[in-house]
Amino acid sequence: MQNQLGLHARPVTLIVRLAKTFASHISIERAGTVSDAKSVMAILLLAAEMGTELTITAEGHDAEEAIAALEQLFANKFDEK
Amino acid sequence: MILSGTGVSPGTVIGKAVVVGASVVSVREHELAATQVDDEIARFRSALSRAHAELEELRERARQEGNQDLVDILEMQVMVIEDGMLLESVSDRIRNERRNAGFILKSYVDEFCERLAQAGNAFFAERTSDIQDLATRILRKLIGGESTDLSHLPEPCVLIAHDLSPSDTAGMDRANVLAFVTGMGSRTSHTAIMARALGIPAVVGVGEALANVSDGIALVVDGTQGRVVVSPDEATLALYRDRIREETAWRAKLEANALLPAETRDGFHVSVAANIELPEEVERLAPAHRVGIGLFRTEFLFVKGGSISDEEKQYAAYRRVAEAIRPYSVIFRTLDIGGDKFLSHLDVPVEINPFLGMRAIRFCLRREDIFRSQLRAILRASAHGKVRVLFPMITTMEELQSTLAILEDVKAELERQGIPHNPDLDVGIMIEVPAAAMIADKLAQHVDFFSIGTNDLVQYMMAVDRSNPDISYLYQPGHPSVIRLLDRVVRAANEYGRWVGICGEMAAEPLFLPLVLGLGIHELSMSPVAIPVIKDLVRDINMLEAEELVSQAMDCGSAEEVTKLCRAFVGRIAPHLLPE
Repeated sequence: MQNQLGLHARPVTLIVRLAKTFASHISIERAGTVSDAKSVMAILLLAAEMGTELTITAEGHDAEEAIAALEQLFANKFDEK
Repeated sequence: MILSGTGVSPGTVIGKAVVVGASVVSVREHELAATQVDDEIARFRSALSRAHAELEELRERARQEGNQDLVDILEMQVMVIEDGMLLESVSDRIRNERRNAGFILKSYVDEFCERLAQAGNAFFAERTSDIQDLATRILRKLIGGESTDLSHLPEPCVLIAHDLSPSDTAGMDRANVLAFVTGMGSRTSHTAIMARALGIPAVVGVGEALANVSDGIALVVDGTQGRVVVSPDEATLALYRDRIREETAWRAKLEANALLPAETRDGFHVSVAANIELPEEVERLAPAHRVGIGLFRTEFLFVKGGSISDEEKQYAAYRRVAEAIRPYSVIFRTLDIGGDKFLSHLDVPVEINPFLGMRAIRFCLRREDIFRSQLRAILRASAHGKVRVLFPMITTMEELQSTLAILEDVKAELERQGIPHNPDLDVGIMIEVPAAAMIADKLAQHVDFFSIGTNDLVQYMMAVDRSNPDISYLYQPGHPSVIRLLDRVVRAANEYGRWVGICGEMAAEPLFLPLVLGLGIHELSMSPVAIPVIKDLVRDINMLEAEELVSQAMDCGSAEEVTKLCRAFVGRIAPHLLPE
């Protein structure tokens, strides 16, 4: 998690919107808490702030593309500073 | 506790607060019979979908206002509903625990927020408030109270809000609103104009102190002094009850004299007309308020309709007004959107400087389709009464010429189609841009009358955003520059035998009435409730003295000097009308 403000409203909605474009089941994990990447409330529960380590897993026929796309989103810091 | 703000609509009331968009909703727990479970889930589902629709609308409005932070939060709330997680979890628990949806939702969300608070840092506390806010919205749908729908108020109340927009008040249950109190706003903001139109007291610009007012708390609202007393004690209540009795007696005397003509002591006559926003207002006008309509603001028809009103809908509304006001006349002002009036369904681009942007006639000349259908509707209504048309925000001669060309074209079209209309209807323009005021002599040659919109004219003259509390002191209708400009406009109109009206706030301001009369303005158009007060004051004024006041005011260097002269003038004849 590299953007300064952590997972606030905008990044969360961006993640969910992107995740929903894939058929795969996608989850994001933080220290034992596993959240469905297609649910805003679930992702909020990760309470990820800057520097938090998150693991993304995906199962399904487009799993690889899904992970690549989400990685890209995190790497770009959700287009924030 | 006493809150102070700006009193923008006079009068005193005692009543209970209804907080618009309140953040706390109380929910009682109750058990469901097995047979009620499915209905309860259906009720929850419907509450979710109504909250969803409302959030999408709010998000669109925020987007048009360029408030990106708010867009993000609303977008997140929309997506929480779309997730399905909320619906599934709450539905499961309604089924398993057999408790009402409101109670389950509240405990589910409280637990969620507690988990979030434990897991995260202070930053995440803010996310919990977004989720709580969402839950409150859904709860309001469940328990019947609606957060922005003011169309059904159970009893007379004082509306408390951060701010009220035209779409908030468009469908409002007016009969049950005793007063407005808002955190934001100034004399010329929508809340203030609306309050004066309804004749109810209003205090705006109370600021953060508004948080001290909760739903159901007793209030005294003093719209004259700009004071709100929260939970008044018996002694205070007794004091204000006396005040209300006096006000009622004074009003009754004014109403009784309201049918007398507005004629100065030395026999000069001025027309007094009403500013109206909705057709039903015309039918409800008290006999004392029944005069011509100097300004019918058509944009509120568009806001209320929720979609661009088509020609037939508009025609029906305009015709209804023209027929109801006969034998008097009505001036329909064509669509004046932009500035502080947005229509969420219109594709109006977000601007950094909306008051200097694509508004009013500029918008209409760009969107000729909308403009033409409005002109057709107004012209068709002109066959059913005395109808005039008024174009807002004219700045240049070219704009006026394009506008008049379109009007002539629409008339010819109606003529070809054999549709009845009055081809000679009077045409006027708003004088609200200083550029137009400076070439008023040129513009006068092409129109029948001028209507001066002082709110915008003063704002453009003084280069001040009247809704910004930090600089609203610069909003000075009494500034010598404004008086000089008005004088110039009246002289230009007289040269060509045109008449001049004022339809801004200045027309209904007792303090400035001697100035306005002395300038030679022919018609004053104002909120219907102000009519008896202004007419009464006109009858106390001597025109020769008023003209002398104008020449003194034109020679002043500051608004303060002008105001001082005006206070002395009005203080001599009607001291009770001056605010302290």
